[in-house]
Amino acid sequence: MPSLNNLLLILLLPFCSFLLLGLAGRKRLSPLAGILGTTSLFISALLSVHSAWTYFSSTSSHKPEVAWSMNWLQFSDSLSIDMGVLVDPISMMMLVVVTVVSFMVHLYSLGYMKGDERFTTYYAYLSLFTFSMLGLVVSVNLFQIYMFWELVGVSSFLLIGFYYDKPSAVSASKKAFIVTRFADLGFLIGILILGHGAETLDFNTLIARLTDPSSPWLGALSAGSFLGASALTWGLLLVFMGGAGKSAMFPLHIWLPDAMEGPTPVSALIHAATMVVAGVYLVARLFPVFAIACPVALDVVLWTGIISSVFAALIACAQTDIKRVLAYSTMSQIGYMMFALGLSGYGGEAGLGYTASLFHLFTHAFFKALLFLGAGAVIHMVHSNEIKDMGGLRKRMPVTHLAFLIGCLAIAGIPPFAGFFSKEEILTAAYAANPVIYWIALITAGLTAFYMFRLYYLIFWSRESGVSNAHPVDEHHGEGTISMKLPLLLLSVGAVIAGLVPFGNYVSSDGTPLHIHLHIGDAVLPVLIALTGIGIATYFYKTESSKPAKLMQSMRVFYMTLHNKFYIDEIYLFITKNIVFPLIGRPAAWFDKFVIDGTVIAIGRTTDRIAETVRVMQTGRVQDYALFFIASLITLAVFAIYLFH
Amino acid sequence: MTDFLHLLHHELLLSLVIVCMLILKLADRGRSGSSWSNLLNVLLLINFAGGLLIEAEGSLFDGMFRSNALLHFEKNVLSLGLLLVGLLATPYLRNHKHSAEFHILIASTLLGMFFMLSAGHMLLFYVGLELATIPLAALAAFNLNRGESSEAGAKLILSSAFSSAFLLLGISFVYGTCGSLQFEQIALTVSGNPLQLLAFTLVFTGFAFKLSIVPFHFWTADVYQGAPIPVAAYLSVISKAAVTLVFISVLYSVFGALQATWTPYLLITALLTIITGNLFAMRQDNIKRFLAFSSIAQVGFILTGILGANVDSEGIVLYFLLIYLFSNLAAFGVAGLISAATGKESILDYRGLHASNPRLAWTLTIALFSLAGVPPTAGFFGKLFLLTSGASLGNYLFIGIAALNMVVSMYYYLRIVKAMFMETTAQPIGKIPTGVAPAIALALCIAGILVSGLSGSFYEHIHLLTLSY
Amino acid sequence: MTAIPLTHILVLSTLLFFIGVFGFLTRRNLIAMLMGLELMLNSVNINFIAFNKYLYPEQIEGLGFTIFIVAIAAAEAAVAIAIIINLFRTTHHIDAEQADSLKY
Repeated sequence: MPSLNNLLLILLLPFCSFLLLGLAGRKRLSPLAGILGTTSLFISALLSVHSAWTYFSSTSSHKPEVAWSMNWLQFSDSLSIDMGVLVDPISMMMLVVVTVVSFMVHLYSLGYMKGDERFTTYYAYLSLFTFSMLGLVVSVNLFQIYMFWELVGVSSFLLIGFYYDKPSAVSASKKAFIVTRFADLGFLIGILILGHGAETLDFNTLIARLTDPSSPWLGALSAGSFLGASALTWGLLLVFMGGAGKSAMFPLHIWLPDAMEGPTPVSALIHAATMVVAGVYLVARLFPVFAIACPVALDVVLWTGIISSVFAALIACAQTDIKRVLAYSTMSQIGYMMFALGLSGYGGEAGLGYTASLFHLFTHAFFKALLFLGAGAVIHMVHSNEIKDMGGLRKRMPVTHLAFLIGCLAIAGIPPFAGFFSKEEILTAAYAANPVIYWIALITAGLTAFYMFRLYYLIFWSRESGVSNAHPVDEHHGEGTISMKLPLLLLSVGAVIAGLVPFGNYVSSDGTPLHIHLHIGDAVLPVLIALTGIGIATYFYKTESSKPAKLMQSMRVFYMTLHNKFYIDEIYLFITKNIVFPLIGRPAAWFDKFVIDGTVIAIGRTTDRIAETVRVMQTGRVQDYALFFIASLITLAVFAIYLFH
Repeated sequence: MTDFLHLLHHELLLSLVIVCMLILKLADRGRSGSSWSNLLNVLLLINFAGGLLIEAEGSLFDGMFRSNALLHFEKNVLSLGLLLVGLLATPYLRNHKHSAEFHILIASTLLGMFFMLSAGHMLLFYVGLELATIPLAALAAFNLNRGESSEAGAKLILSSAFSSAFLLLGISFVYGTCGSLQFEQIALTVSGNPLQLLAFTLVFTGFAFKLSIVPFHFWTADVYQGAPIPVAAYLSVISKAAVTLVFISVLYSVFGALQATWTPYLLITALLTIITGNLFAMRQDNIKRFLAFSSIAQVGFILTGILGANVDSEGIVLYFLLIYLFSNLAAFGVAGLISAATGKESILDYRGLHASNPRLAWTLTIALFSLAGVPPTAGFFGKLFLLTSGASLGNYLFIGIAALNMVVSMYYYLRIVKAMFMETTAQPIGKIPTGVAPAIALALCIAGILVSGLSGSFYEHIHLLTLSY
Repeated sequence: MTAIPLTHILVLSTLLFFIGVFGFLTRRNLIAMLMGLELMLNSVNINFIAFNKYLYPEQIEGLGFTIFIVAIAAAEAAVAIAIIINLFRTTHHIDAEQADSLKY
């Protein structure tokens, strides 16, 4: 059991840094703001690693324990709302992930945001976000998690809209806030239903009450039926709706690509490692209830996950904005985690999916943050998000190049990088559960490898000459300061070794260690598919045009063979570029943009139009008002006397 | 005699304050507006503090006047509200010729509300209601040189007299069918025959008008827009809170037998009120009109809470009213400061407010977030509890629609926040001097929003208080 | 004494009430609307007195209420007329249909 003081300190340090920077420091602390924020996060990260170390090394069985709690609101005699700190394997793991990634982002921003006139505000927001995310992670009850959930929403709203003089950033932040608020509405109603039925909001009690088949609470919740599903199913589905909104699951993902308008380090923090996995964390938190009491809801999680995963991977292939590719790839990877949870069972070997999902969450945090920060360095250098403005950067940015390559290898699932192990576990679990899912997941893995390496080659290889004239490279920047390079290196190390953690020993669905046996044989096919994806990407995107032309002139014989091969390539190219992309990738992107986004816009516009129409009723004449008064009065009276009696 | 003094102490103290104001006004005509404000605010502070001193339970005048700890608490809340409005009104009154009259009139309306709250008889209730309304019409017309203000006053007095005629007609039928106007007697004899249902419907519309429940709300926005901002704030918060509390006791204890009738009434009107309030609020550019419609939507949520009609409902509504008082007064307070300093009342003028007046912008943001129900502001808990209370009847569809409207309301509250923080304009509002009194009031409001949200003891106190009555 | 039945009186008061309502809704002059209001209030007074006299002759609650209504109606009229006069001073009309600058 880690010391309580440490746990509280982990939470309070970012909060204090927020208070200090946000309230007092706008002018006075300006030069120190970055150092202050980074130092507090550094201590926080050290403390959480230390706490996790003591926690995981002390006992072998890890049941959730409430380390500290205080009664906060006595709602009624039976229902009170507490604030507290929950200690269990996943909360400890998340503490480490959040503080470490946040520390990296703090450090990185020292260089990236240097010279911004709202530097202090930026760090204040960053600290606030970290605090709320940590609070979310250690929540002891549904209500506390909801509170911090909203706080995370507010602070991410502030961060996405940080460049508020950019209209696109403002509308993106608003969109993110409204869409997730809408999802949170479901979450809130779900909490009300579950809290009402189980008469508790506390996670431990709730899980105990709803997983015991003989408990009266479970009976009451599963008895009634509304639109063909029991109250429990509705409650869990609505809670999942909240999770799907934050985790950008289909069809609530529309805010995520737009949210890339925020500063890139923010995307690394919010949209890679922390906030977007909150949905996964939420489902994992309530996992016993999903798995034991309500498999239907878990099936919804499964299919939402798999659809999001493959859908996002397809769209990612057709994107030209570097951050959007990463955004869709994040969505795809979170879909992976979701479906792994969805196909998992509770306890023992059946719980492999659960462990795999959280393992993937853990490794993904490192390599995705790495990719985002690498992308940030590239954007910093060329001042553009568009792939067409990049190319041939590997010599100019050796460190970034290396880091990005490691990130790509990790996400593609090439051994021995971190992504390989977690993805392998997920695939093993999928293979055991459902072959259809397994094949879809494999295809997604291939696509992932393809689009990530497409991105990699287009940024760092392709054109030899470097960058286009429209965006001259800022030579003074070089690769950025040491504070920008250091996080890249550290995260690269993480992306290499994070997969070696014996995760099953620590995190499993029922708290007992799960020994995972991976067979080399099982891993061959996924790795081959990933390599195929990389190979195709290499072939198409590594060089742009100059190399084949030189070869053609110097070696005619070779050229003929190459030419023949080119024929096959032509066919292949025709198939992918003219059939696969236009028929699958682009329509998926189109569907995303016009149908899903469009629906949201249409709802907004219709409401607006209704509002415009009914306004006319307010004529401004007191006699008209009196007439409305009498008409309504008569209606009510008629209702009262004739209808309700 | 001591009994008399104890039970009536709120009313007596306030009457004394009013008489003092009148005498001071007569004795000293040369004072400037701001020095009047300061003097009268001190009197209001004394009034508030004095109200806290005594608690007594009992009834006077053959049950016509009742008092108990809960009523004392409610009156204290209203006194606090009046004090806040008085403090917030100082910039507006600084250059007004009749600042003493403003205070006298506004204090009289509070006296009317006190009587209305304590009424155990239709007569006292009616007298209190009119005492709380007629001076408000005069106050709405207080910008004597502006046609809009007079128009607002005329609209308020004509339509409120119109609605009270219907209310009186209802009371006369209640009298005809029950044989008494004593609340307890009415409660005993109400049986639900058609004439009584008609009578109840008439009484209901009287309340619906005062609370601006849709479709009896049309006067609201016009009056708020035309009236001076402190008056609009008073109307939307204190006046509404007082009528809501009386409404609850009339529904629960006087017409409790007719629950089968008023439940569908409340259900329909609550839905209409929330939706209409939101729809109209979306399209407003004038901040006062905007706040008017948003407060209509808030009333819809209050009705949702009343609908629950279980042991917790009254406490929940009272808690929400307290939060609503702080939040709405803070919002109106900021709007009032800006209007008094620059005369600007359009939301478009608020662009870039954060740059020139960060404190005001943050205050308004917190207030709006509380009104929108974003955790961890108190407004969130208020709304949550109201919805829970309403949900106890099992109308999940209705609660779902209400909750959906919370999200819609998010949209337009955020619009103002966005304007203040993220937009710029060619002619931004300059630095606005806040002044001591409004600053104190705003600080109190913000403290109220945050403390009543973050500390459970507020709610527990109210909860226990309402349980015992 | 009881030659006139209660219903007759109630019919009278109801008629009076709705004549008042009609006046309120149709007169364009604000002062005339106020007169319609007075009619409505007085018809309620008739109601109270009739109920008191016919149904509960042992009480005086209805009578008492009437006196209060009369008094309050006077106060209401005084404030209303003051406001209307001020409206006239600033806008030079007292037309209900022109007093619609506040709308939507």
